[in-house]
Amino acid sequence: MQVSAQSSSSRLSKRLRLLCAMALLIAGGRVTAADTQVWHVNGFLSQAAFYTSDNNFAGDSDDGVSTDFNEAGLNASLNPLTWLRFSGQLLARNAGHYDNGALRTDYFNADIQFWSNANVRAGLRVGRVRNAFGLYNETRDVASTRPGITLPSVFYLEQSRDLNISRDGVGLYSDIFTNYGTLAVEIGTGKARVSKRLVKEALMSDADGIEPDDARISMVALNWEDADGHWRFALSQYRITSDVTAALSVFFPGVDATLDGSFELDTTAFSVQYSTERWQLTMEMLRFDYDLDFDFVGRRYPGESGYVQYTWIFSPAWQLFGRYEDGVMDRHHRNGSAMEQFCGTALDKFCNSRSAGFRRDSSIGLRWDINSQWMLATEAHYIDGAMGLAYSDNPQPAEVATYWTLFGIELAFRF
Amino acid sequence: MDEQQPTANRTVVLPDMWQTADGRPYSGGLSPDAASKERADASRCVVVLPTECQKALHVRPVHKYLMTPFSISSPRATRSARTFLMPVIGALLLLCSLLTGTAYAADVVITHPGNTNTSLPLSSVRAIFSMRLNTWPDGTQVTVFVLPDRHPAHARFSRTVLKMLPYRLRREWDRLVFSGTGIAPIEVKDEAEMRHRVASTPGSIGYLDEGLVDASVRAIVVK
Repeated sequence: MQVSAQSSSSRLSKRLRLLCAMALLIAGGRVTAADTQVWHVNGFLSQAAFYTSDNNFAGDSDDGVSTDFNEAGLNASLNPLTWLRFSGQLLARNAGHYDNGALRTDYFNADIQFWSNANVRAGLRVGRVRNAFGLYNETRDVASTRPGITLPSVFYLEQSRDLNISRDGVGLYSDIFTNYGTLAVEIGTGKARVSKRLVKEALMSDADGIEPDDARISMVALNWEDADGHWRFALSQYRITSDVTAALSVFFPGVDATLDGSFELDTTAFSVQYSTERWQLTMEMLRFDYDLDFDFVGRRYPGESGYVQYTWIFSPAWQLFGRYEDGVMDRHHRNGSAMEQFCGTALDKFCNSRSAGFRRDSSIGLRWDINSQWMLATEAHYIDGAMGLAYSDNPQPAEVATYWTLFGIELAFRF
Repeated sequence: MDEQQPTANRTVVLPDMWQTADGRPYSGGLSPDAASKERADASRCVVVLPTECQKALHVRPVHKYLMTPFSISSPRATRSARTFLMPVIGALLLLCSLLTGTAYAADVVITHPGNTNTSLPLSSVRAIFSMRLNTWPDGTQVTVFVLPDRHPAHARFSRTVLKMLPYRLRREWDRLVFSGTGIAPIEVKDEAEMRHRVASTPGSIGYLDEGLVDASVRAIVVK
């Protein structure tokens, strides 16, 4: 795909502008209004490097080092009235061939809090609103909030990132404060951010001619934290639907017609986390039903995944973690054979390797919080499978290896 | 030296400097009320030092140790013994607090003096410091001040008053800030700045070592 010099340089200058704005803010300190801070500004920056023994992760890391992974974000929150808040976040992110550094709006919304007392608060968010999913999705691009350099990829699938990040719509939320703990509830609906990139990754092939249209999302999320903050539970249910049209020339070259289809994705995610002074145990599980249907042909991923992570906080500034992730794209074909269903057929362009259908990932990592702003982390993975690996970085199914290792190091800054 | 066991532990009235601003007994557990009742017929005075002090000074059960040198047998002797006792007790307590460090430090929740609340339930204090509850009962905005995460007083406050893990508190603030669903508290660099900012910001709340609280801020009770 040709990228014109003009558009790549305008992307570059937008990114540069974001970085300059951040530099000014960091240098100038917080933006304040009198003694009560009406404006709050925060931001983050990270840069990582990865090496993989096989397969490409965040760039051309196969038998080499890829530094094509960085994140830069800036957010602001304005609270002109007790019950009204405006907040927004801009993000620029590079992740190999999958994410090219374009500046985007993560969220931008108004929060109208119509009820607040010692027992309950409730409000409505309108605009581009973050999707609460699992324990870490809401802040997935902020390195210091992640449980490692990379998020557990079987649960926080990179391919569905755009869907997960935010929706354009509304969210009705409530927090109930009790002596035993706090219950947070959110229900929301809106337009789902289904991008061309998302379709390409979901189908694991160049998806020219396949267009999503009128994508909708509805969700409900529950979060319970006990009073002491030891236990945390999260449960969420998402439903995404979309119309899809496919130009038949995609399937049958020379045929000039379109095919109408539908797309549906249902996800149920459950999380539990137990935290103590010195260690933390986390488990998250996901069940998803992805169904792209063009009547006589379609793609289904009735998948499930989960991970468990133990983090040892052996010093206030140091943490060591061990994690095991296990995921399948099709729980009825756990060896990934469903990924090969189109191989050798007329739809061979949708042929994938078996290894794209599962992943068993064991990893360990070390994190050093240098001070309240800087963090350095490193981790190593031994992976069996390629589920969750970006198609954009690995376009040749034949070259996707089943057994591979990944090493990463990351430096992060936040304010 | 009279080594007879007292029939009950007598307690001693502390010199003014060891009492808190509103006349409450020093947190070491010495009570002025009991002492004033027994003043009339005090035949013995003992000092009951708190456990931390006992350990720090390497003394065995206090009443046995101190009863011996400080026991008084007559009312007249009591008055002069009390005069003698006060500086000694003062010195002992000072020594205790120096040796045990934070054992004597207790944090209180402080608010702007114009705040009408004298007490708050623990669930509300937690919700406020977690930045989930941002209004006072009268509907005005809460402004939260905290010390840096690595300041010992912050960790102590989280654990002893909020009874929450400090890093969980930080994760919650980060989640709110970077998802656009809330804000983080305002960080001040030390306790002097904490007291100054809380005193000068209407609707504010913070925390401070009990010993650093003065009339410029209001200390509230956590129920």
